[in-house]
Amino acid sequence: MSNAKYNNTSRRDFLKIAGATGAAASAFAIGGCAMGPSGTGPRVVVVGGGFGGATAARYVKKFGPDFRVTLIEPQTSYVTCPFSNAYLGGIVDLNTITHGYSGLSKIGVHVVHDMVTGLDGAAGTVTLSSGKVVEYDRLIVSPGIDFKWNMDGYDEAASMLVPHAYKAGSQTVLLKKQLEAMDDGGTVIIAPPGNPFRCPPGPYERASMIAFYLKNHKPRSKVLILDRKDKFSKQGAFTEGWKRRYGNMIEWVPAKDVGIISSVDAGARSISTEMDTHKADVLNFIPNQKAGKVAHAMGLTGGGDWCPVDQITFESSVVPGVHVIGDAAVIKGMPKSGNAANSQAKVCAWAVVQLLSGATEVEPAVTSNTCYSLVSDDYGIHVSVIWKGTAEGYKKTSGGVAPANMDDAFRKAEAGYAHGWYANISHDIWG
Amino acid sequence: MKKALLTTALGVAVLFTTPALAGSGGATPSAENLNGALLASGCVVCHGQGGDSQGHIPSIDGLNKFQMVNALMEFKSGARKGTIMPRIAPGYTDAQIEAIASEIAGN
Ligand SMILES: Cc1cc2nc3c(=O)[nH]c(=O)nc-3n(C[C@H](O)[C@H](O)[C@H](O)COP(=O)(O)OP(=O)(O)OC[C@H]3O[C@@H](n4cnc5c(N)ncnc54)[C@H](O)[C@@H]3O)c2cc1C
Repeated sequence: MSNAKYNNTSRRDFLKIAGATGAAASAFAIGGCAMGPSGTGPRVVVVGGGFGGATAARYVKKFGPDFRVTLIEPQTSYVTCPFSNAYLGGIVDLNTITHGYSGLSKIGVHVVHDMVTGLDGAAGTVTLSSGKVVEYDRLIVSPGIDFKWNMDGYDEAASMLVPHAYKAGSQTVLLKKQLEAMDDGGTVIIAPPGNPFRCPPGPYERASMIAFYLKNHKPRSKVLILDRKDKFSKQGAFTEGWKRRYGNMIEWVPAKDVGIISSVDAGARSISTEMDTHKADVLNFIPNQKAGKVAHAMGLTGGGDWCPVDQITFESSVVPGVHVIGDAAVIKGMPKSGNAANSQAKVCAWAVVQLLSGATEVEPAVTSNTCYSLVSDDYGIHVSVIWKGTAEGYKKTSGGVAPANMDDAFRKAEAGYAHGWYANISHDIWG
Repeated sequence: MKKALLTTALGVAVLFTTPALAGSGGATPSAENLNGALLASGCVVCHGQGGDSQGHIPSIDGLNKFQMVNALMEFKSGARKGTIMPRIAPGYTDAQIEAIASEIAGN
């Protein structure tokens, strides 16, 4: 009966995807083929192979082994933002934080390296930059963030001189090169973004890791944080750690004392406020943020900066049949983190498998986020939260930040656990 | 479109083998059953696949269900010390702790 429908669509789908790459239609075999997703069940297409998307692809396959899962991701390898600060500190190399997609192909996920350019929600299709059209029964979108390039003097071209390094890869390498080229005694200025942004502790872990590098190589240098906020994530724990490991090397200035940043001069590596101009030897300016570009092109933001979703299934409030997870989605109560994106992906995969298996309702999930930050190579701090899902968002049932004034052994154990978290979550996602 | 999809999906629900379907003898998908898998999927980001951890975080794949429930209940009550687990365990109900332990350690 309807089985035939899925086989037929599978064939059509296959022809669409494989046709343009010149594969012969005769390669098609029941139950999947080398060029298509394995399985004969419903078709789930995932957009974006980062923390949210790659997890979703894996877990749809795990919760629904017969589901046909296609992952669309332009890059053939992905450099993680998590541990990119440790790379700046000289603690891990680039290879350690770079992952490929063969682990997902191995479990039967059809990985297509292409870019999604458009969505037809009524037809249930996405269009790729190659012109191919891919059909889905349900779509999961996890495109991450885009920057608001609206700061006077800071645009994409300026980011080649003054890196944001807030999407990992060439930007992170550029920032590291600049740190290495800086003379001892220089000032590194970090300008963290305003809320909401990905990884709330990220800029402060970055300050720590840059200080770690400077302490080892250029000990007369300084890190100055000019914030657009008056408080920040894990503030007490970072402040204690900075004192214990770096003395006065890191100075944090809250927004109320910085004033409003009015312009960035990328050539001069300076930031101006209405009161002052701050000149840096290395400048790391992190722009304000919004949902990834493709989310806007797909019409999933409803005209806003982020994508509104149902809080239980993460189905878009704008386009039915499409789920949005990760940094791009508005998931109330959760931070924009890689671990949260991983958790949301699992909740979403569970919901999608149930909905495509005949369920009409999905139970709210209990889910979690654990985020370790490295203050130093031997000093880690965590924040961890367990949430209960409700229609209004995620309510904390327990959690908190690493306690104050713990001894060095406690901090060192947590630095080790930070590495352990990275190894295990990357394995959970990319295999 | 959502409605149409659901109707289609309802018609073919019985064709797909999910762990939930397999676990409940091919009846309707059981939220309970998948829920254990979903709950435990949060543990693997630190403790590794099936509790087999790579690196510094302790593996938990050697524990049987009783030991796992016991450890989690002790973290929950505060009787057992740790770096992070005393903050995590109280977030789960006793029934959820049972479900997690069943999923990772088996029954
Ligand atoms: C410096 C820094 C440190 C961080 N540290 C941590 C940490 O320690 N722990 C933690 O939990 N989180 C951390 N984060 C946050 C984490 O990186 C993000 O929250 C996470 O990457 C979000 O996942 P995502 O799937 O939403 O987006 P991403 O991981 O950014 O993935 C988006 C993917 O979509 C793809 N894509 C974009 N457009 C298209 C398109 N048109 N078609 C197809 N694919 C497309 C991209 O290529 C990309 O692969 C850190 C972030 C930063 C910046």
